[in-house]
Amino acid sequence: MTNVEELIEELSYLERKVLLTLQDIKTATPEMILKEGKFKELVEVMNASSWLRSKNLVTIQEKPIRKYTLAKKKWATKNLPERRALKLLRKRHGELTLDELKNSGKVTENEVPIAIGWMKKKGWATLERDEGTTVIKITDKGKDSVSTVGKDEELVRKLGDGELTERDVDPVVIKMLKSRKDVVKEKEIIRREIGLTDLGREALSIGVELKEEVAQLTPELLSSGKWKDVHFRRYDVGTFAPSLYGGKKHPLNQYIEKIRKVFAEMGFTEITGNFVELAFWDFDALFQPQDHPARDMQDTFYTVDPDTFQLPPEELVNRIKEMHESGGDIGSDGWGYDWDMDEARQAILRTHTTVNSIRYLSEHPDPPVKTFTIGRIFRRETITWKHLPEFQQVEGIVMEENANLGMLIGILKEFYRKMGFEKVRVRPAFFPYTEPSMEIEVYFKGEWMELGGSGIFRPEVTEPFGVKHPVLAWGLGLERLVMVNEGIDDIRDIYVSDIDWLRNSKLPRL
Amino acid sequence: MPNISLDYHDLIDLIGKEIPLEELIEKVPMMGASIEGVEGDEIEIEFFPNRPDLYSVEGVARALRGFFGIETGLKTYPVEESDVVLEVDRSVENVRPFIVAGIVKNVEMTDYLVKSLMDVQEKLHATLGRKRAKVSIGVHDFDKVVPPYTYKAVDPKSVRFVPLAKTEMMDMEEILQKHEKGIDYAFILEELDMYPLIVDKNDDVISFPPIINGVLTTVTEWTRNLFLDVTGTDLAGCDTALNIIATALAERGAKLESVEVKYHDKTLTTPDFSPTVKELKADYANDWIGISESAEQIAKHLERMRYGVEIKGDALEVQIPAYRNDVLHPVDLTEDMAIAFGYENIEDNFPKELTFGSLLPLNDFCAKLTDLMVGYGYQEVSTLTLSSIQEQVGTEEEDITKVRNPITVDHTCVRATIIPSLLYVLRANKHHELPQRIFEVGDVVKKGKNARKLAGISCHAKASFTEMKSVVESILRDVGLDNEIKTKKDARFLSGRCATAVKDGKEIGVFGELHPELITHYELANPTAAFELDVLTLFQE
Repeated sequence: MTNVEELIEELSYLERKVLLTLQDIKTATPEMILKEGKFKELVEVMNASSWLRSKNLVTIQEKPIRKYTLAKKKWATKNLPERRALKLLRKRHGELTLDELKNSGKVTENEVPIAIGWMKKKGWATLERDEGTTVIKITDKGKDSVSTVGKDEELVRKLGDGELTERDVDPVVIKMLKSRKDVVKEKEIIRREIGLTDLGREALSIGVELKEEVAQLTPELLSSGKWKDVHFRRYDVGTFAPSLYGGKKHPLNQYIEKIRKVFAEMGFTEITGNFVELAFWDFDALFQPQDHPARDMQDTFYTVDPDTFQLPPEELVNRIKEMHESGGDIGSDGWGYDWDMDEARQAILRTHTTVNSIRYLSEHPDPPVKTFTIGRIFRRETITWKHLPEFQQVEGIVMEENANLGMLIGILKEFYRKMGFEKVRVRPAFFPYTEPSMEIEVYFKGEWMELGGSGIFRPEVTEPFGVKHPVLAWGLGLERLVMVNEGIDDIRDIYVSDIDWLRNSKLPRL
Repeated sequence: MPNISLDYHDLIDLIGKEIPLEELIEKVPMMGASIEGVEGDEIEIEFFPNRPDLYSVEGVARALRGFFGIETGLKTYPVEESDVVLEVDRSVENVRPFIVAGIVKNVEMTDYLVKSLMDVQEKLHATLGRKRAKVSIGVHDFDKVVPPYTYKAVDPKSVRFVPLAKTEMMDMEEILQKHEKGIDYAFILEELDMYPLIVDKNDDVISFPPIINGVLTTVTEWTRNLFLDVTGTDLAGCDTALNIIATALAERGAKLESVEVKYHDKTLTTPDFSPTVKELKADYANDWIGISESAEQIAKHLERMRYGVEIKGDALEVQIPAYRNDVLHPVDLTEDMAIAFGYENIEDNFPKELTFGSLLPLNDFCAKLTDLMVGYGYQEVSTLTLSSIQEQVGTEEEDITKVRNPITVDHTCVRATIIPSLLYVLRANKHHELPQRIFEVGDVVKKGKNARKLAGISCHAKASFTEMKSVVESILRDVGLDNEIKTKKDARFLSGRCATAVKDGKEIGVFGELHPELITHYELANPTAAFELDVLTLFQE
């Protein structure tokens, strides 16, 4: 198919009808097309014409045009004042005083000067003064004009039949009428003229067919085979269609699923644990001294029911106690204070997922260990746009013979690369139970951004559990990852979500 | 973590070598700190809580001189002996047992020094000092008092003096009630009958630690010689604090003199800057980091971190400065070595041992339940598990894990049911288009143990028992269960429009039309139906 044939093929019923109408009458106003083409409404012509214009098949010329009507309806039936005066003058044999005209009843008082002025202008009469009286005398031209109609009067009569455009009137005559008050009214309108373009003519010469148009394909059309003979109405694809809002997964959980997958790909085992934990596991086992501010009632949630838990076997508890007090027998100084068993018994809401990792290590002290955990943790923070008392932590650990800081950096680079961050760097940091500790930064949208912490568990942490090899660990806050990627700037939006936000959330590119 | 603000020019003067601001901004993070902001000449830096020696500009300059290789190794500070004696009375043993002290002479009270001294004191109080409870520091005009001094515990009513920043005499009880510092720190002396006090030879009050100094020893711009006292409950902490402040002042050219602190069983001469010594094996340090530096190279790195080092074959004898309290184990020296080596210079590598990944089947199952619910047209939400006790209708109070120290009345427990969390979301969205159908797969806690639940809720003009029954029965069908449905009583639901599914004689959840009282409590204006099912039961075939 040629381009033009394709173009014809895509034409709608109404477009075809406009084209075919124009084939007969060439250039026309929409009104004419409406009439000639037997359209139902002008809007059909206008819409089809503008579609045709966008396809370069017709032109629509728009020009301003002046239209005229009578300023007052009476002029349709009533003569102009000078005509009425002339008739009276003729009746009075060519002479009339001004007073006689005024009192004749043929012209109103206001019309007297108009009648005299125009009779003089048209050369129908002259004025003469005779002993203080003004006398109107008919001229020869006046006599001749009694039985003829002036061009201006003719136009007034025509206007009495309906409005006229500037094309229908003599510009001199209309100018004359316009110079008078209250006879004609002029207004400007836009006149559209629709005409075929060369392409339009070409299309018509190839042949434009008018077929019956069908809006909806029906089972009846299908079964009868009638669908072969009908033309399916072409739709405006830009027309509004309602949005679909079914269910959707929460963005946070989509990230959780992705992270689980990444860890599994890297050979990690998923582990889990309870929200309510022993201070022993959450703090003491991680060599956090008992007077550390993080353990304050200010910073950690303590619980009732349960208030306390039973501690692990005494032997293990004693090893932890010794580690805190004197550093055990591994060349550490310990913290040098009296470790209190009652503090360790306290039940708390876990403050990090590291508690899962250390519990797992205590049961699996032999290499290799690669585990991860994603879960809620609790910190005693007031709710703000930046902080919640509860959020999600992601943590991974690796323990094997000869594990080292370089290995941790290698793992981090791979992990973050799989999360979509190509560039990763580390710098010194401090966390209470790792040594060295590293801040993780990723390159995101043109700048370096902190996205996690990492380090190697201190020997004071691992030794009491018989773990003889370095334990590499890293973690990150899940909400921060979701927020930077999804452009959320208030953490509360994740947990007390606006339902419209959820309904309109886009699929994370994970 | 403590932020300290440094003046660039002051810092450069103390370093003694011009280092461009840009270079500082680039290198300081590699030393273990983060630049929080730079405004004109003011640099705001966050240092880590394990390094109180970096809470002063003088300490930072000392570390930077080492890091930049301008001056390396252990810094020594001469301390001259004075004849000043501080007697420690045994009455303080059960009150605030420890005190150390020092004298600083020829101090030039510049604006920089005054600011730095106040800053470091404040930061040490907040961190190392645990809000002054563990360690607190007093700085005095040495020339205003007469040695020997006495540190003792006294009856709070027995001593009256004018505290710093006041003009009237008060007894110690009054100070705790009226003085701003007294009010702030009274908690430390709670439950004590006797309060600590430092007086001079004439019984003039030097200090009422850890609350306030006497007005007598007020430090002014004309002060030339300082007396420092550090009291507390931990002697090592007191020593560290004194050493940090004394060395900072010495960095500005002041001369240090010691004080004889006489306890009933020992005499300490403080400040005492003798370094502690730890052995670091080169192999250990190399293996931990994953590099292979020679003992000599490791020694160089440590010297840049201001340690003194002696190489003894394959081991290094490391002298740790007296202002550091964070080196407990050779691993701490290893970290400092790595920092000097540069983390960016460490070659990365991968684990050598093969492991197979595995995911928790229950979590995988939850992801599948989520798919089901989304298929039914339910929107997933994620809500906080902290909730309020009043909202846990349907759970026995003793089964609910309560928070002993809640922040708000909304978060007095960990939820035992998800339904209130969902109602909370509906309330927050009450002005949005209906119907709203949301669900969550999440944890609840009962008797201190986590359990996984699936809960959903539907709110619209025609929400009904039947709608929930359809959802619940569809879930049961889709997980492969075919259970008996029985009427259930649950105060949250309309009586007679509440049911449960039963598996092996055990109820696996609840569903039905919520009670109007509950609906209106959450400010909802439409019928609301809900369900909650136990995920583990659904999971087990």
